[in-house]
Amino acid sequence: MPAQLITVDSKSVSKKRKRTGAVEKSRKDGSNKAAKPASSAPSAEEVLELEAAIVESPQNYNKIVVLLECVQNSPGNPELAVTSSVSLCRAFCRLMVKGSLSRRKTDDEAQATIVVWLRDRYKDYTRALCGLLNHQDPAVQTAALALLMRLVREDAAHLKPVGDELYFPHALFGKAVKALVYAEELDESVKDEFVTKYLNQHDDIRYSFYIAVSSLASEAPLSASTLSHFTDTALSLMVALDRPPTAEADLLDSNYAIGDPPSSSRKSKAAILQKPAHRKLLQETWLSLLRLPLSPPNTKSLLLTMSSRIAPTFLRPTLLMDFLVDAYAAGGTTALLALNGLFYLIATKNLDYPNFYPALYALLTRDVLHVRYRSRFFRLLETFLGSTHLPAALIASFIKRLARLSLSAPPSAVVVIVPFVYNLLKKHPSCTFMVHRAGTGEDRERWRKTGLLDCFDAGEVDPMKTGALESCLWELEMGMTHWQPNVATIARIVGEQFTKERYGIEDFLDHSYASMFNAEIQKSIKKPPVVEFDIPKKIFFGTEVEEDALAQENTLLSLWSFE
Amino acid sequence: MGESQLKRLKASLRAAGITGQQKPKKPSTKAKQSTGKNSSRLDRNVALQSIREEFNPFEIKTTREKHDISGRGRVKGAQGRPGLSKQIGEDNRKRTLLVEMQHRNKAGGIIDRRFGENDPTMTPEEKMLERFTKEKQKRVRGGDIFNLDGDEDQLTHFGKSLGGDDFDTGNEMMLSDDDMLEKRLKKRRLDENAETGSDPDEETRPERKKSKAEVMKEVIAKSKLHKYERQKAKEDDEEEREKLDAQMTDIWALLGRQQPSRISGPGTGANMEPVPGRDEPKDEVNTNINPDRLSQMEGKEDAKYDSRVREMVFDKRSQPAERTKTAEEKVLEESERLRKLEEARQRRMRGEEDSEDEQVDGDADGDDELEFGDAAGYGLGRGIPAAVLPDRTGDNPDELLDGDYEVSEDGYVDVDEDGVVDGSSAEFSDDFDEDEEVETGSGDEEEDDFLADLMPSKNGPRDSVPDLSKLRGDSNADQLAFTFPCPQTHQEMLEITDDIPVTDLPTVVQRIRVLHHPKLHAENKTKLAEFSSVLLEHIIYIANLAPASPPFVPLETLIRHLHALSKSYPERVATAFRTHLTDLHSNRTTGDLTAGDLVLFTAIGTIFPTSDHFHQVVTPAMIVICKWLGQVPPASIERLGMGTYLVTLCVQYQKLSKRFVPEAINYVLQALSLLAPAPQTPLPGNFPYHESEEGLRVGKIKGWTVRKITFADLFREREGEHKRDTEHTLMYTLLCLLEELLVLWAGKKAFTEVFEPAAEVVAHLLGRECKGTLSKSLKNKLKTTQAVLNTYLTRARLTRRPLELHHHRPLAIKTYIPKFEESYNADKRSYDPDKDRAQLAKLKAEHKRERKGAIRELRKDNSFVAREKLKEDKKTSKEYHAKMAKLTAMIQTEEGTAANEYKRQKNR
Repeated sequence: MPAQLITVDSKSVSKKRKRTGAVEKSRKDGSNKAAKPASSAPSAEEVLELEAAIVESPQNYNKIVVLLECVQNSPGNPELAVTSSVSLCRAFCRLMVKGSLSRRKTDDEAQATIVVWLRDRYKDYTRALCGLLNHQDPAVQTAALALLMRLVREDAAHLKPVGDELYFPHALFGKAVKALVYAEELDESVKDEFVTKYLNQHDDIRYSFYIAVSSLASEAPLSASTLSHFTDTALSLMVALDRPPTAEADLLDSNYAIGDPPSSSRKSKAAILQKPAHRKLLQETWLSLLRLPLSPPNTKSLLLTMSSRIAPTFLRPTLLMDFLVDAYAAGGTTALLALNGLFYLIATKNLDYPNFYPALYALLTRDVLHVRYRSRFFRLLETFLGSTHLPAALIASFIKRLARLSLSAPPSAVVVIVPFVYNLLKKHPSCTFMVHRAGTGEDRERWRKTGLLDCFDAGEVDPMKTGALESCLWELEMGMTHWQPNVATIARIVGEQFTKERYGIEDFLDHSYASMFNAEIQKSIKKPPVVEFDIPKKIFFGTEVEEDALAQENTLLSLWSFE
Repeated sequence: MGESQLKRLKASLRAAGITGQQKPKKPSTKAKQSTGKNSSRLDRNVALQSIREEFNPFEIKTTREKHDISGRGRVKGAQGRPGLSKQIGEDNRKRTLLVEMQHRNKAGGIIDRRFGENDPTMTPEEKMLERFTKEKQKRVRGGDIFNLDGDEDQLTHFGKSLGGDDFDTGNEMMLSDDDMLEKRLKKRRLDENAETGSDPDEETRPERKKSKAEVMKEVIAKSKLHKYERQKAKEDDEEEREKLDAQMTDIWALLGRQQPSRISGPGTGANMEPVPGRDEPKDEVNTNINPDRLSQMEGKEDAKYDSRVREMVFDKRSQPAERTKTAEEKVLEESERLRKLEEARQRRMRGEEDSEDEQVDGDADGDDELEFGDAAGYGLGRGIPAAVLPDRTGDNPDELLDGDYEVSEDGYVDVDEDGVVDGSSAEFSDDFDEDEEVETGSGDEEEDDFLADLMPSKNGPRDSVPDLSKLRGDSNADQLAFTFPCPQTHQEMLEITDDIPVTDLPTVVQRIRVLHHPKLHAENKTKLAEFSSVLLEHIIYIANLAPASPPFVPLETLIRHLHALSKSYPERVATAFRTHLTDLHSNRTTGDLTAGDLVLFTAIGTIFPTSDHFHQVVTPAMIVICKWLGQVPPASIERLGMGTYLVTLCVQYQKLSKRFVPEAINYVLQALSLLAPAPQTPLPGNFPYHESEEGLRVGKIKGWTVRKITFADLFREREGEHKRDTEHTLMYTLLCLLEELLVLWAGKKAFTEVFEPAAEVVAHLLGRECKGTLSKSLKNKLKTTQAVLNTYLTRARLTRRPLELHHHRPLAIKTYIPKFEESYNADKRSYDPDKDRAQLAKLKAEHKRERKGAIRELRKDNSFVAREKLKEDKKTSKEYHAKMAKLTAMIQTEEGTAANEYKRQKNR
């Protein structure tokens, strides 16, 4: 603890009291409640008295330390912490208004010491507040956040350096953001409040937030555990940004702490008020964040919002390429999602991606038809394979791969694959050899002897070299005998004459077991259902005599015993 | 045309020979003289008329042509004579319509057919003369006036002969016989003539004319002969009839009818069986004399006969009795029945029946205008958003009950004396129309038998399932109540079965079914329908009571009972099943299944035909099964076991239709990979694979021997050794299933693609990493499986051929070149190449024309009728007025006279 100082500063405080009256009133309820447990620690009334004393005369500045102790060392007493921090906040605010915290040239040695001391206490206080953000009680967190933001405003208003009209306390706010982001106990509601009340309302806060996050991200993160926590919170906050500045969307045009710019000429210079500066900063922030090692769920959530929210904010979206390409190369679901962003870049920013189709082909894994993003993937796949200028061998590989996957796919996926393949075949007539290949007599003779050797190499990575064009789509023929009647019906279109121009894939995308079941169960029973005419002799038991004969025809009985 | 009108008139008059120099004097022929004057006058009039018409410009109407079309020829109706045609029409009407009008509401009348009556050209003298000669001629021709055979002057009535001398037989019923008689007589006469060697014609041939006396003699002789012959013929007939009458009893016997009780006489007598009610002394006496005579004496004969005939009218037509069938016939019939059922099943399997429901027409309508777009044609529903819709299967099941049950009324199962439901002898209700009638016909009796069989079973203590009673030692079925209410809710069912052991449930259900047989009360139908759904609920309830060891023996019987009920109430039972499926789908498809669920699926597999392309119960059930297989990660041994059970059911379901179930093979492969002692990298194939947290990998076990997996294995707590035993058994079962699948899908085109990964998985299990942990018998099984797999795969590779799906006729390219007619003809009306259509168009045009014509004619008729009526009215009124005037005048005259008389008297 620093040495106690006794200073006198007798200025009227009545005016300030009036100004802070509203705040006081609102805080009062909380402080009244916290009145009772004041055995060793000061009670609420005492806290108020201390506050009044501090404001009254510089002689009582030492009371600040008492209150500070209350804030810092009361983990078991949240009420006291809140009341004392609220009181301190009020006290500091008044002191700021009085100018007690700002150094003046006219000050003598002693006064300067007091200012320095006060400033130290102020820093201590803010640090304590930041610590409170990690308190178990969400109410305390909320209070701490509110107080911090209030301090930021007051700081900007009263501690601004001379000549800087558009001063924003980046350091203070940066501290707050850091505490916020690293706070492990941070409640969701507090985060929401921060986003809705501050981040999504005011430009200057955003600006400072960008600065804070990018600096935090570029600082070497401490450890793996805190890193993942940091990325989680930071990304969730960043993603939560509503209406970020893009080429189209303007700034919010509302500032929290900085006053209105005195003239238009000045406004043009200040970076904090300009969109390009904002965007540049935002872009840097994103990039610094994306450079961090991200967990898979984070990557997925980022990729999901990539094309809609993140990429448009970038001044140079091509900077996202590294991230996307990495994600794409990672394979699996991540790659699936990265496709969307890549497509955005390819389509709008003329991105040239040399190994795009092999990578796309590699995406057709065993899981692709089972994941939730199946429809999204097919939409993109339709776009990517839409060109008629693609080589037939490539298309054939995709077709064959999809057909192969359909063998282990749920019916809702088969329902997409068949019309999809139909469209591809229709667009690339040279691929129709895959469904119809009548050999010459010579061929037939050879096939009769050795059978047809399938040229398709499922393990080949390059879609141009799989030899699918020489193969046949036996798998789709298998679909014609699918157990689901509707799927079987759809599968039959491959065998019929190709008269329809194309199928709208969109209509086939959104199906699932559940939707199919509902479609079936909602059909009313128009005619009485057919009932098996012979009541089977045995359901669970086979008689000894017929055991063998039955086993031939009844799998259930041959494999299971029901004793 | 340079001449004037007058000149032309003169010329034409002269040409017609009316004016100017008369033609030279007529040649004097008698014929001309008789009619000449008249005819010349008539000719003159005709000629004059024609000349008049020719010179009246208003008589001819021409339609001026606007454009002259070359090559069209004369247009019909370009020139017409409206006056003339009107006149013709008028005349026609006068001849037909007017006559009809005048005859309307008048009956009778005399048509004068006297010679020459309507001929105005004849003078009365001529008429008389002609008539006289006619009559004379007639006399001469009809010389044989006394000939009885004379056909010409026979009296007739409605064209039928009034019978003349046959009146003595006097029976109208014999009319037709008369003709026969006539013919017979004639024939006999001819025969006689042949015998004498003389021809009747030959006799009459001599030129000499017979004298009148001779002729008369001949005639008399002839008539006598005829009379004699007729008498003889009649006697013959009588004899014949008597014979027939004597045989009457035999005929009655033949008819197989009980003799009408009223009839006494030869019937009973002949049978020598004295009928108890008729043992009267009078009969004794009567049997001695001819019964016919007796009845004749009593005057009853005819009445009796008539009454019999009348009775016979009301007799039912005899129905042929069911012939006892030989063994071969029975076998044949059975095989025929099976064949029909199999055909129906095949049809359903191919999905042909439902063609009206699911219209497979992808190309039909516009792209995305429809609600579901392209997918609409395939009955896929609305897609995922539909999932949030509330299910409405449970709301009012009674609505579905309104349907008729006629088809399945008799769908009852014979429960034989032991109470074992005998499936094969059950009557079945199927959808064959032809079978239906037979069923309803014969159903009643069998139904009664069914009840009769069952009723006594209530009296004697009988166990429901004998072999079960053997197992359990004794049964307390005899302590069961004999009557139960028909439970309408599951709660009621629970109350009823509260203190009844599960093993006696089949007896209870059977008794409920007997007591509430639809034949016994009208309401029982609905009650039993409701009961069937309760029964299903109860089956599931029982299975869930003890999941580790559900009482399968009674369950099996209960399921059969449900099966029998579902034949009668298919819709109700199906709704119940669907309700359970919906519940299962919405609540339990993300976790473990219960024993009840598994029993439910098993029951579906036996009750409904699982091979159908679409089935209201089986399809949703398959969806639920596959959803479970595909989406519930096999996190525990229990789940693996359930999945194995479901896969078994899949195989069972597709036994006949051999449809491809990706979920089944996926599940088998995934389960095998999960159970494998060491993980396989990289995984073959494309089946989804979820590594489970709980260690599922097979552990080492000593002395494991091949055993069947039991249902109880699914729900048993397991630790250590026991767990490993289950794992081994599971793997064994999965391998068996894999082989089943191999057999099931052998011959499919993508067989290789489906089973190649399986071969790799099995190879991995036999590999170095896994070998150590697996027990010996399991390894043996693996080896056999691998051998089978390889055999099948090799065969599949050998038989593999490229796809040839598009042997379609190539589509014609559409042409838009306009069509030109090579040989155009203005007269040809249509160039339709379709002959039928052209003909139809022609017919239509004709019909239209005719219709218009008919309408026109009718209008003209109407106006004609009106005109005539007016004319008549005018005439009558004129007559009336004239008459009145006359009368007035007369009265006035009389009055005047009277007045004069009066005056005179006065003056006097």
